[in-house]
Amino acid sequence: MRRLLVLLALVAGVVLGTAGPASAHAGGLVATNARSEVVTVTPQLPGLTVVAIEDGAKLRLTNHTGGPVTVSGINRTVAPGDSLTWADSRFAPEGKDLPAFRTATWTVPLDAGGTAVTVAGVLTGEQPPNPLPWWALAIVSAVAVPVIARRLHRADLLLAAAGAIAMAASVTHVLGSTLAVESAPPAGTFLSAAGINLLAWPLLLGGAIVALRGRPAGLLAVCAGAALTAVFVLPDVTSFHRAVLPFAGPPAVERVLVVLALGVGAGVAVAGASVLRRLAQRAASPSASEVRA
Amino acid sequence: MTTSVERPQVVDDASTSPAFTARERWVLLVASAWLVIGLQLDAYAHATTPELETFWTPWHGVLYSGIAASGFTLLWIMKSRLPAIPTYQSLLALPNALRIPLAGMASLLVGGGMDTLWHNIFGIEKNLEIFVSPSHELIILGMVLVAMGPALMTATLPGRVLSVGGAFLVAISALFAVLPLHIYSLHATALGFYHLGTGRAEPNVFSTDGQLMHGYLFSTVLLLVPILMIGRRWRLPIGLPTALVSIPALLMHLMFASQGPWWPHLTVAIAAPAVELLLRVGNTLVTLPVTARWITLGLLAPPIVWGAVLLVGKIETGTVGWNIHIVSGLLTLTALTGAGTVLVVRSIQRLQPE
Repeated sequence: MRRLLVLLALVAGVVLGTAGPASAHAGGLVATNARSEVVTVTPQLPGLTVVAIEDGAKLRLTNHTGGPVTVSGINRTVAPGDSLTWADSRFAPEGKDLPAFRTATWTVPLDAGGTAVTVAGVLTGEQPPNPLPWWALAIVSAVAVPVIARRLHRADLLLAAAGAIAMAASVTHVLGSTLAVESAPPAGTFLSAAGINLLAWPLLLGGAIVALRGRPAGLLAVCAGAALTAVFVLPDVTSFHRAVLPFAGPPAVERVLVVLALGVGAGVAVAGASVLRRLAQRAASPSASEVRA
Repeated sequence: MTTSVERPQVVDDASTSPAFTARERWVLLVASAWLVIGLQLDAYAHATTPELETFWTPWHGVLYSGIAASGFTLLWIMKSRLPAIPTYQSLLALPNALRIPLAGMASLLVGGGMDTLWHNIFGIEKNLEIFVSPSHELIILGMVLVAMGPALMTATLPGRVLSVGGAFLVAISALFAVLPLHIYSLHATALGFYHLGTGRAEPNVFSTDGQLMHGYLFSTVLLLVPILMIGRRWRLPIGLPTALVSIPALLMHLMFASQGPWWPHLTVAIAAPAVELLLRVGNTLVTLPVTARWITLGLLAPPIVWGAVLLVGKIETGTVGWNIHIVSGLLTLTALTGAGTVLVVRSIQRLQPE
């Protein structure tokens, strides 16, 4: 049985390993419909502090009591002078189906040098947004880019500009996700949150620059980068449906960024088919295309 | 086997674009190997190191750089084969040897994006589900298609004889393409943990016994297909069929059964060259039409290899765990499965442009 478990874990790793590049939310944080916070630490011991961070996804215990503190349930001991940050299903909002404005209490027992300590907290449900307007905006964006591109003579400029907008939205989204993480170094967190976008952004930026310098081949890179941006922001469409977002800013801003990265990114990828075809046709027969234009 | 196909296939995928150079084929081989090995290393690290939450691991480094290396290599190979103003049509018109790995890279990336969304909505799969969830299927498919690239590119070259270097390239490409499938099909394999019956007097239909019987059949197909595909295009180099059976068997032992006895996988690894030698000698002694020779391979190779596993199992453990009905029937089924696989794969025709 042990080998079977190792096997399953190994194969899970095979497939989950590929989720690493796609990990859009930094620090393993996900959108939820609740917040968690610490209410009391009983009895209060001098030098012992426990606080909730990242909307309650994790607790941070700092031990200046002079003795070891053991966290029950995860069996981790914090030496004097050390601190421990951990996620735990007992207090984390993830996966909790809590109605809006309802509360639920939780406790985490500690052992501080032989003294039983109880950390008590509360989970508070929040009202999720109406997802329909956000989905509608994303769809309108995705449709608008190809529709407008059809009416423009220089649709290549539109694609370059729209690609830059999708990239800017994606960069801001990743930065906001990174800044929401308190429990990990920012540089690594940023790279983890960016993932495959590290490939998409240079494609968008480099492609736009090359296209604007008069080489239409750059547009293909813009389209590929836009498609990647749309695909890799997909995990974050949960922000349309959930209230508490792992984002350092107003939730509405995060939703707008996801709309732009998803809708405009998809729109550019779709519009690329006709825009590139028209450019190739014009290059092949400039006079005929001028007549059509 | 030294058999040849009836009608040598002239592959002209590259007729409208420059032929693939040796440098392109080898660079893609290295990049795709980098990708597959990176994934395996990262998988091993996740499976054996608890709470591996940091991004800064060497395994992530290999994996991420492998994805980037494969992606940029494909872009590099594609660049000289696209017109000055590329269109989606010109992308789709690329040679199969290039568009199949490109489709694989797209599948890998889309699967990766979907996978995180899937986990955000439905949670992380832990048991049998990991073999079946759609995003995981796309990821595995992507790896397989990317890894096939170097062999497909080699297939665009004229001639039916592989050079030594070409044989190595095709063999390594085929191994990296098929290995993820062996791993992903652990729920239906004879190269996993179980090799012999449970010993129940009346085995149930839906049981470990039943599962293992299907495993023998599925593994038969999975081990034969790359040999048949390569043999359809080229004369099979000596030792290549052995490599395509023995290496996956040994790697599966190292990856998943290293705590267990060596004899099941080692038996496969030793039986494979014995069967290859037998069939090659047989080819020189008996004159048969080419299709008959291939069907003979399908009929004989699986029951000999799996029969050897059961025989060594009997010697090692004292029992094969199954009665005579199952053992004889299973070996017959593996023979029929082998012959059926030959007939299907040998019937695949190259797609013609419309």
